Amino acid sequence: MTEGTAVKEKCKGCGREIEVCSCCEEPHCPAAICFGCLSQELKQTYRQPHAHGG
Amino acid sequence: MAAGLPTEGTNAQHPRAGDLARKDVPTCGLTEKLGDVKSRAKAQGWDAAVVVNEERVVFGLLRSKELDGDPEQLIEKAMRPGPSTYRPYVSLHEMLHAMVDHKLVNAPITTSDGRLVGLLLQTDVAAAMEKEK
Repeated sequence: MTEGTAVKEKCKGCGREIEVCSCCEEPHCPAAICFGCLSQELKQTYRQPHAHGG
Repeated sequence: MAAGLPTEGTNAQHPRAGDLARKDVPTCGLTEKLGDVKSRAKAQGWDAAVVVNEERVVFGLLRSKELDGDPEQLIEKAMRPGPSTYRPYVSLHEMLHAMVDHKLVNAPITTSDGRLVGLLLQTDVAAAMEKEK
Protein backbone atom coordinates (compact mmCIF):
# COMPACT_ATOMS: atom_id res chain seq x y z
CA MET A 1 0.00 0.00 0.00
CA THR A 2 1.34 3.39 -0.93
CA GLU A 3 0.70 6.60 0.88
CA GLY A 4 -0.22 9.81 -0.89
CA THR A 5 2.60 12.31 -1.09
CA ALA A 6 0.47 15.41 -1.64
CA VAL A 7 0.95 18.02 1.04
CA LYS A 8 -2.41 18.84 2.55
CA GLU A 9 -3.41 22.41 3.23
CA LYS A 10 -6.39 23.67 5.18
CA CYS A 11 -8.95 25.92 3.57
CA LYS A 12 -9.04 29.28 5.39
CA GLY A 13 -12.82 29.39 4.86
CA CYS A 14 -14.20 26.01 5.84
CA GLY A 15 -11.14 24.29 7.29
CA ARG A 16 -11.44 21.38 4.85
CA GLU A 17 -8.20 19.69 3.77
CA ILE A 18 -7.23 20.60 0.22
CA GLU A 19 -4.27 19.58 -1.94
CA VAL A 20 -3.55 23.04 -3.26
CA CYS A 21 -4.93 26.55 -2.99
CA SER A 22 -7.65 27.10 -5.62
CA CYS A 23 -6.67 30.72 -6.08
CA CYS A 24 -2.90 30.68 -6.66
CA GLU A 25 -2.27 26.92 -6.96
CA GLU A 26 0.98 27.41 -5.09
CA PRO A 27 2.07 24.94 -2.41
CA HIS A 28 2.22 26.24 1.17
CA CYS A 29 -0.05 29.20 0.41
CA PRO A 30 -0.63 31.01 3.73
CA ALA A 31 -4.19 31.92 2.65
CA ALA A 32 -5.06 28.57 1.03
CA ILE A 33 -8.71 28.40 0.04
CA CYS A 34 -10.89 25.70 -1.52
CA PHE A 35 -12.77 26.22 -4.78
CA GLY A 36 -16.15 26.50 -3.05
CA CYS A 37 -15.05 29.13 -0.55
CA LEU A 38 -13.18 31.08 -3.24
CA SER A 39 -16.27 31.15 -5.46
CA GLN A 40 -18.34 32.43 -2.55
CA GLU A 41 -15.70 34.99 -1.53
CA LEU A 42 -15.70 36.44 -5.04
CA LYS A 43 -19.50 36.16 -5.19
CA GLN A 44 -19.21 33.92 -8.23
CA THR A 45 -21.68 31.66 -6.47
CA TYR A 46 -23.88 31.89 -3.40
CA ARG A 47 -24.52 29.36 -0.69
CA GLN A 48 -27.93 27.85 -1.41
CA PRO A 49 -30.57 27.79 1.30
CA HIS A 50 -31.24 24.43 2.89
CA ALA A 51 -32.96 22.26 0.30
CA HIS A 52 -35.61 20.77 2.58
CA GLY A 53 -36.37 23.37 5.21
CA GLY A 54 -39.21 23.00 7.66
CA MET B 1 -22.80 39.21 -16.93
CA ALA B 2 -21.00 35.86 -16.92
CA ALA B 3 -20.70 36.12 -20.72
CA GLY B 4 -18.85 39.42 -20.45
CA LEU B 5 -21.60 41.39 -22.17
CA PRO B 6 -22.34 45.05 -21.35
CA THR B 7 -24.55 45.73 -18.34
CA GLU B 8 -26.95 48.49 -17.39
CA GLY B 9 -28.42 49.95 -14.21
CA THR B 10 -26.96 51.98 -11.36
CA ASN B 11 -24.38 49.34 -10.46
CA ALA B 12 -23.12 49.12 -14.04
CA GLN B 13 -21.02 52.26 -13.63
CA HIS B 14 -18.58 50.46 -11.33
CA PRO B 15 -15.89 48.72 -13.40
CA ARG B 16 -15.56 44.99 -12.93
CA ALA B 17 -12.93 42.39 -13.72
CA GLY B 18 -14.13 41.98 -17.31
CA ASP B 19 -13.97 45.72 -17.99
CA LEU B 20 -10.35 46.00 -16.91
CA ALA B 21 -9.07 42.71 -18.31
CA ARG B 22 -6.58 43.30 -21.10
CA LYS B 23 -8.10 41.90 -24.27
CA ASP B 24 -4.82 42.22 -26.16
CA VAL B 25 -3.03 39.57 -24.10
CA PRO B 26 -0.94 37.30 -26.34
CA THR B 27 -2.42 33.85 -26.89
CA CYS B 28 -0.89 30.65 -28.20
CA GLY B 29 -1.74 27.04 -28.95
CA LEU B 30 -0.61 23.84 -27.28
CA THR B 31 1.74 22.76 -30.08
CA GLU B 32 3.80 25.94 -30.33
CA LYS B 33 7.33 26.21 -28.98
CA LEU B 34 7.93 28.16 -25.80
CA GLY B 35 10.72 30.25 -27.33
CA ASP B 36 8.48 31.42 -30.18
CA VAL B 37 5.68 32.39 -27.81
CA LYS B 38 8.07 34.16 -25.43
CA SER B 39 9.57 36.30 -28.20
CA ARG B 40 6.11 37.13 -29.55
CA ALA B 41 4.89 38.12 -26.07
CA LYS B 42 8.01 40.19 -25.34
CA ALA B 43 7.66 41.99 -28.67
CA GLN B 44 4.18 43.06 -27.59
CA GLY B 45 5.45 44.16 -24.16
CA TRP B 46 4.06 41.20 -22.22
CA ASP B 47 5.61 38.75 -19.81
CA ALA B 48 2.59 36.44 -19.85
CA ALA B 49 0.54 34.56 -22.42
CA VAL B 50 -2.66 32.54 -22.33
CA VAL B 51 -2.91 29.09 -23.93
CA VAL B 52 -6.19 28.70 -25.78
CA ASN B 53 -7.77 26.46 -28.39
CA GLU B 54 -9.33 27.64 -31.65
CA GLU B 55 -12.52 28.64 -29.78
CA ARG B 56 -10.48 30.68 -27.27
CA VAL B 57 -11.21 28.27 -24.45
CA VAL B 58 -8.43 28.62 -21.87
CA PHE B 59 -6.20 25.56 -21.49
CA GLY B 60 -3.30 27.06 -19.60
CA LEU B 61 -1.34 30.08 -18.54
CA LEU B 62 2.26 31.14 -19.05
CA ARG B 63 3.44 33.64 -16.46
CA SER B 64 7.02 34.97 -16.53
CA LYS B 65 8.26 31.93 -14.58
CA GLU B 66 6.91 29.52 -17.21
CA LEU B 67 8.06 31.73 -20.11
CA ASP B 68 11.63 31.52 -18.79
CA GLY B 69 11.72 27.75 -19.35
CA ASP B 70 13.46 25.80 -22.12
CA PRO B 71 12.65 27.61 -25.40
CA GLU B 72 12.48 24.29 -27.28
CA GLN B 73 9.80 22.94 -24.98
CA LEU B 74 6.26 22.62 -26.31
CA ILE B 75 3.65 24.84 -24.69
CA GLU B 76 1.63 21.85 -23.50
CA LYS B 77 4.61 20.79 -21.34
CA ALA B 78 5.63 24.28 -20.22
CA MET B 79 2.28 25.80 -19.35
CA ARG B 80 0.51 25.97 -16.02
CA PRO B 81 -2.46 23.75 -16.95
CA GLY B 82 -6.05 24.52 -15.98
CA PRO B 83 -5.38 27.80 -14.19
CA SER B 84 -7.95 29.31 -11.84
CA THR B 85 -10.11 31.63 -13.88
CA TYR B 86 -12.47 34.36 -12.77
CA ARG B 87 -15.75 35.64 -14.16
CA PRO B 88 -16.06 39.10 -15.74
CA TYR B 89 -18.63 40.28 -13.19
CA VAL B 90 -16.39 39.90 -10.12
CA SER B 91 -15.96 43.28 -8.44
CA LEU B 92 -12.55 44.94 -8.51
CA HIS B 93 -12.47 45.17 -4.74
CA GLU B 94 -12.84 41.40 -4.38
CA MET B 95 -10.39 40.69 -7.20
CA LEU B 96 -7.75 42.96 -5.68
CA HIS B 97 -8.21 41.36 -2.29
CA ALA B 98 -7.70 37.87 -3.76
CA MET B 99 -4.78 38.92 -5.96
CA VAL B 100 -2.92 40.62 -3.10
CA ASP B 101 -3.60 37.78 -0.65
CA HIS B 102 -2.32 35.19 -3.12
CA LYS B 103 0.42 37.32 -4.73
CA LEU B 104 -1.11 37.00 -8.20
CA VAL B 105 0.33 39.49 -10.67
CA ASN B 106 -2.33 38.58 -13.19
CA ALA B 107 -5.44 36.45 -13.48
CA PRO B 108 -7.30 35.13 -16.52
CA ILE B 109 -10.88 36.31 -16.89
CA THR B 110 -13.16 33.94 -18.77
CA THR B 111 -16.83 33.53 -19.53
CA SER B 112 -18.68 30.78 -17.70
CA ASP B 113 -18.00 28.45 -20.65
CA GLY B 114 -14.27 29.01 -20.34
CA ARG B 115 -13.66 31.43 -23.22
CA LEU B 116 -10.98 34.02 -22.66
CA VAL B 117 -12.15 37.58 -22.02
CA GLY B 118 -8.70 38.91 -21.14
CA LEU B 119 -5.92 38.96 -18.59
CA LEU B 120 -6.46 41.09 -15.51
CA LEU B 121 -3.32 42.75 -14.12
CA GLN B 122 -3.03 43.49 -10.43
CA THR B 123 -1.48 46.88 -11.24
CA ASP B 124 -4.53 47.83 -13.34
CA VAL B 125 -6.92 46.83 -10.56
CA ALA B 126 -4.96 48.75 -7.92
CA ALA B 127 -4.87 51.86 -10.15
CA ALA B 128 -8.62 51.66 -10.85
CA MET B 129 -9.42 51.24 -7.16
CA GLU B 130 -7.28 54.26 -6.34
CA LYS B 131 -9.16 56.28 -8.97
CA GLU B 132 -12.56 55.23 -7.55
CA LYS B 133 -11.69 56.59 -4.07
